[in-house]
Amino acid sequence: MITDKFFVDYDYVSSPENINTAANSLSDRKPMLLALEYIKNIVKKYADKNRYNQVLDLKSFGIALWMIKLINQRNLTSRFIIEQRDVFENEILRLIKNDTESFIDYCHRAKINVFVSNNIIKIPFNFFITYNKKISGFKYRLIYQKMENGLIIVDEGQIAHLLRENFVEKINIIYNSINSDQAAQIFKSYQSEINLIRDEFIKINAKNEMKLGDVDFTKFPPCIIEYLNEIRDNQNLPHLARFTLVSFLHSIGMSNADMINIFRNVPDFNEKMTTYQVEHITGIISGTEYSPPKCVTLRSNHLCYMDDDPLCRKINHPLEYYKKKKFRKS
Amino acid sequence: MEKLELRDYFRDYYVKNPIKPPDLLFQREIGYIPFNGSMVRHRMYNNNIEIERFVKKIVPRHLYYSSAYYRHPEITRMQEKEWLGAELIFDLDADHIEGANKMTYAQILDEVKKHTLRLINVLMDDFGFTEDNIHLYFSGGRGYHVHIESDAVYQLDSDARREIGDYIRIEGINIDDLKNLDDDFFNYGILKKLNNYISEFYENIDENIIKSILGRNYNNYINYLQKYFNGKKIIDFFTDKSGNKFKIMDSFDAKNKITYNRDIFKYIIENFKKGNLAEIDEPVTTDIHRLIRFPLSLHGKTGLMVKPLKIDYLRDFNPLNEAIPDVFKEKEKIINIKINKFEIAMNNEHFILGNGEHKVPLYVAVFTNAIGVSDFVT
Ligand code: SF4
Repeated sequence: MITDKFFVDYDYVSSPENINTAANSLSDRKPMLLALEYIKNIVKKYADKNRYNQVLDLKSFGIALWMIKLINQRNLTSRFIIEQRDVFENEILRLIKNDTESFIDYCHRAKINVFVSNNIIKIPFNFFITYNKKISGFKYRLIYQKMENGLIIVDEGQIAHLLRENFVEKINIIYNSINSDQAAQIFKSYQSEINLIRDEFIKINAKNEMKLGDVDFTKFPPCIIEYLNEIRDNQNLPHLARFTLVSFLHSIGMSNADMINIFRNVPDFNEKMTTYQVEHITGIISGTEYSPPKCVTLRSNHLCYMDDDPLCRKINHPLEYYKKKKFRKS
Repeated sequence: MEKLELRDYFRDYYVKNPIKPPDLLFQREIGYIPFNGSMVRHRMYNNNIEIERFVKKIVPRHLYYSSAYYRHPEITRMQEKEWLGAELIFDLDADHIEGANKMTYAQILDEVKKHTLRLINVLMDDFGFTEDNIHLYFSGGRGYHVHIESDAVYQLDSDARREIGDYIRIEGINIDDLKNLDDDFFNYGILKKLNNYISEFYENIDENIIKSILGRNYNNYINYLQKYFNGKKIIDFFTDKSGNKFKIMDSFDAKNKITYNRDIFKYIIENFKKGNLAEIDEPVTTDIHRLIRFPLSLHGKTGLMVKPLKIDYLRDFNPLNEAIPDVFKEKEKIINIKINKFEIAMNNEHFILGNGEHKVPLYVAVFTNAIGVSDFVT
């Protein structure tokens, strides 16, 4: 059985009644206090660009999610989800290793088909290819899977990664479905405290905003915008995306110093490494100025975000997108 | 005039034969190319009666439906259509077959059939689809269409479909990745086939093949083997003593800076792919808004039917006999062949037609007219 220490129960978290009861209980104020404390700490750590992935219990997690919705700051939301994503992954990995029954129970409740027998875990191929996208590395390409009859045998690390991506998707769906007025109602008595948190966050965020220099952001292709957004949301970018981003920004004339500043936002930022990489790609170290890969390459690495963009349909290279837009009359 | 006469024959077909609408017709976008005019899209028909009425009235040259289901298939803007899901589609066509331009139509059809059979095997063995999920059609042109209808695929986005496409086309296998896989991986799917292929490769080759692969490096290779492998001429670099694959791949001739196994592997993988991949048109598979030929409609460039086929029957199926509409078998027609010589076997008859007028069965008249090598003579 899942204990209430393990924080994910999607039905529970999406119900306003549950959250209201938990947040305004007179007999047990602990979850509410914990949630507040947690959010304050994320904001504090955000200022220093540190991570804060503490395990929350079910009630505190639910309250925190609803409160985050009420605060309604994009960067705070994504930070919260990323922190909890990592917590989730650790916790689920623990269950997979030590408590198969709870693991199976979780999947069952999350409506995910997994088949476990004799320590072998199998999942349907469609689950695999739905959630492998943001995970880089050959271990996550379909062609290298142990697939038979529509099922794939995965190891513990793989299933934890895939479930993590599924978790993020589910939490985003719940987050988007939360009604802000309802949230305001639930946290009525905490309104001033929440306002303080929001103000504090906005202040910090303004300091952290990345500067793009003189280049024209509005003419960027969707892929580059997505990479920048991910960095702004403090996510780690796959290697090829970093490469593309740097070579792209370099090609359109951004300075190396500005670029390195942008990368300050990623969680594993390392000034020396980043400087080295940027200088390598831009030719200072290597003597070769690299240019961004073609769209087909990005596409086959799941790094193309063209969606319905009409210009993307006509071009083969991200730089072509920029040039076409730039010289087009607006 | 010409085109309109062809249209009359198509009308005759549509009047006498029902088309076969997909499930949830009212959620599908319908598109068509008329005999005079360009592509019309974003049509919606609520039921079989409506679409039958439309087809008999308009008599399209080409008729399509969307593999996607939409809440509002009739809205022009993609974003507002509200995509609900889509079948998974595979298009196998002569365009993607190597050397197709040197083959006859019948040879092309045979070659594409081979790839279609491979595809279906992978779909069943590896992906676990059953005959109920796999809907197979002769395209009416130069190939086959395979539609997967299954809850496992409807929601897949473009990226996920690309993974499937890459799998079918055996894209992205790389020597350095293989080295990092445990033996167990080679008991499944494509890697199992590759594993067997390598064993067979070494059972069946002689020195000449190695020679042709390595070219100028062959002598170095022989010297290298002399030094490290007691002068054996052929070494399976990929299998160690216990039969495990890909563990000793780094056979490297430091002096000459050559890694022989990489060249050999390149050769192996190329040939392995040739014999095992299914050449699908990948953009069709990854496009979740695709229009695809309507079952039992006529292909406007051949006059042949888009014909549903039982999987078991594919091997024996001959489109040039069996995709001819009955209504085209009943009449004869005089045509004028515009090229020097046209040759084809249709409906179990062999036709060799020189430049000039011929009286032929209507299906030959329609076919030659539709592909543009003849005019009708009235
Ligand atoms: S089509 Fe090219 S430019 Fe557009 S998003 Fe994809 S990779 Fe970027």
